[in-house]
Amino acid sequence: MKVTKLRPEEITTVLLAVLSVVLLRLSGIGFDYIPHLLLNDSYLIFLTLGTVFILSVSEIDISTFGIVSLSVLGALYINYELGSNDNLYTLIGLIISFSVILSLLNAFLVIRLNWDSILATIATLSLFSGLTLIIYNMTYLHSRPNAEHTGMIRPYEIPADLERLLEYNFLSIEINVFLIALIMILVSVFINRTKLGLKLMAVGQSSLSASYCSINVAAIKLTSFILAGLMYGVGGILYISDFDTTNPGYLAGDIVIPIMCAVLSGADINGGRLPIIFTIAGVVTYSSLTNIVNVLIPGNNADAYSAFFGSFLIVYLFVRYKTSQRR
Amino acid sequence: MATFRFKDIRLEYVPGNEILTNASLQVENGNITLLEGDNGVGKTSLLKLLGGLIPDKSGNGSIENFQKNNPRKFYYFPEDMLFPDFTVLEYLWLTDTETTIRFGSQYYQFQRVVESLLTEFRIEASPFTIIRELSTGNRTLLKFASLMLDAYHVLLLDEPTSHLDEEKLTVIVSKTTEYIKRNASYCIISTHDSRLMSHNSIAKNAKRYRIDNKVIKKVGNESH
Repeated sequence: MKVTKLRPEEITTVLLAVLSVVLLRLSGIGFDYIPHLLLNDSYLIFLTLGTVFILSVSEIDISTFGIVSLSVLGALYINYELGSNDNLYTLIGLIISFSVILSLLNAFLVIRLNWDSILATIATLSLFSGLTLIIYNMTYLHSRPNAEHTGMIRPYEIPADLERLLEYNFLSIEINVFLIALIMILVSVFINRTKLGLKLMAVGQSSLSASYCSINVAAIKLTSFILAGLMYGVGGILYISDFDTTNPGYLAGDIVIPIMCAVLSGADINGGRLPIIFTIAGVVTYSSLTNIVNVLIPGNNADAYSAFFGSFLIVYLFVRYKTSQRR
Repeated sequence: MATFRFKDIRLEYVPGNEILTNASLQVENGNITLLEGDNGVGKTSLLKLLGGLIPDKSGNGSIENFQKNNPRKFYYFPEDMLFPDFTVLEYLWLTDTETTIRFGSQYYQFQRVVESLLTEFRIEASPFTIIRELSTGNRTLLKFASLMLDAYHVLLLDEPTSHLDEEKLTVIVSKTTEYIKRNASYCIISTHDSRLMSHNSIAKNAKRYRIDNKVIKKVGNESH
C-alpha cells in the first residue's frame, strides 16, 4: 500500500513537538505530565481546530472565540436566572448553537458584503464585548453577586453518569485523552476522505481554480465558518468548565494562541492543507513552551508571555516562508 | 450533430469601449471551433463571456440559452494553476463527480483509475506526486486528464497548447477530439499556436474563426 509521504511542514510540526517535550523534560517536568498537559489544554485543541478550518479558506475569524465566551456567558446567565444548573446537555446545545449563529454573522460580513475578514472579526469582537456590558448592566458576570455566593465549583453540574465515564482510566491514561483522539480521527477522516473536506482545502489554495472546477466558493467558505463556530463552541464549553465565572475578555485576550497553535500544527496562514491530526502536536508544542517559559520566567507574567509568543510566531512564520521559497 | 448560433455578441472592457460589436458565432457539438486573432483582440474575454464567467450585457438571451441548455462546463485558462498542495490523486478526485467519499476498496479502485489516466496522458508522475512538483506541461496534461472523469457539455480552452511539446500537443488534440465526439460536447479553443492550427485533425475538421476589427470572421469565408 502506497500512501502520501509526510510534507516538510508536517515533519517540522512533529519534530518541534518532540523537541519541546524533550526541553520540557530537561526543565524538570516528567513525561507522565504530557497527557495532563493535553487535558488541561483540551479546550485549545478545539479552538485550534476551529482556527485551522478558518485558515484553510484563507480567512480569519478571531472574534468567534471571543464571542464564544459571550455565548458561554449568555448560557450561564440563563442558567442563573432560571435557577437551574443541572441541565448540562441543554447548556451545551445552547452554547454551540449560539457560537455557530454568531460565526454566521461574520460569514455574512465576509462572504456576502465582501468585508476583509480581519476587519469583520475585530468589528464584531468589539461589538459583542460592548453589547455584553450593556446586557449585564455594565457589569460582567464575574462581578454579579450570585456568582460568588452560589458556591458552585463549576458553572454547571456534570451528570453522574458522565462523571463516572470521565473518571475511567485505561493503561493509567484518563479516558478523556482517548475521547480527544477519537474526535481528531473522526474529523480527520471527514476532511481527508470526503469531497467537502477536499473542497475546503481547494478553496484555500486557489479560489479562482476552485471556481473553474465549478466549486461554489461562497458556500464552502460559509461551511468553514460554521465548522469553526462549532469547534469554538465546544472549546468554549471546555474552557469554562474549570471556572465559576467568565467574561468576554477571557478568550478575546488570548486570540493569538489558537492562531499560533494552528501555525505550529502546520496550517498555512494563506490557506490550503488542514492538518487535523497534527493539531495535537501543535498544542503539545505550545503547552510545553508555556511550561518552559513558566519555569524560566517565574510568576504569572502575561506581558512576558505575549512578547515571547508574539515574536516566536513571527520568527517561525518567517523561517517557514523562506524555506518554502527555497523549495 | 447540433449547431448553436450566438447572435449580436457585445463585449467591452470598459463602458463605451467595445471590443466586439454585434458579432456572431456558430458552434457545432462534436467538433472543435477555433478562435484565432492577435493578442488583446478579446479571445479570452469572449471565452469567459460564453462560459458565463463574465456577465453578458447584450440582452438578446442567446448566451443565456446556451448556458441553460449546457450547464456542465470545463474551463482551461492559463491563470488556473490547479491546486499546488494537492496530490495528483486528490486533484482528480476533486473533479470526479462520481465519488463523494473514499473508503477502503473504493479508494484503491480510484487509485487505479488515476494510474491508468496518468499512463494514457503520458504524465510523468504518480498518484501521490504533489502538483507543485509537476512541470507546466504535465499540469496542462493533468487538467485534460481530469476531463475524462465527467461528461461536460462545453469545453472552453484558452491557449491550451502553449507549454506543450509536439508529442504532448498530439495527445491533447487526439484525446479532446475523441472526447467531444463521444459526449457530443461543444469545444471552443482560442489560440495563436500555429502548430495547433496546422495540426492534421484540426486543419481537416475544425471550424475556424478570426477576431478582427471588432467582428468575428469565418476564416477563408464571409463575415459572421
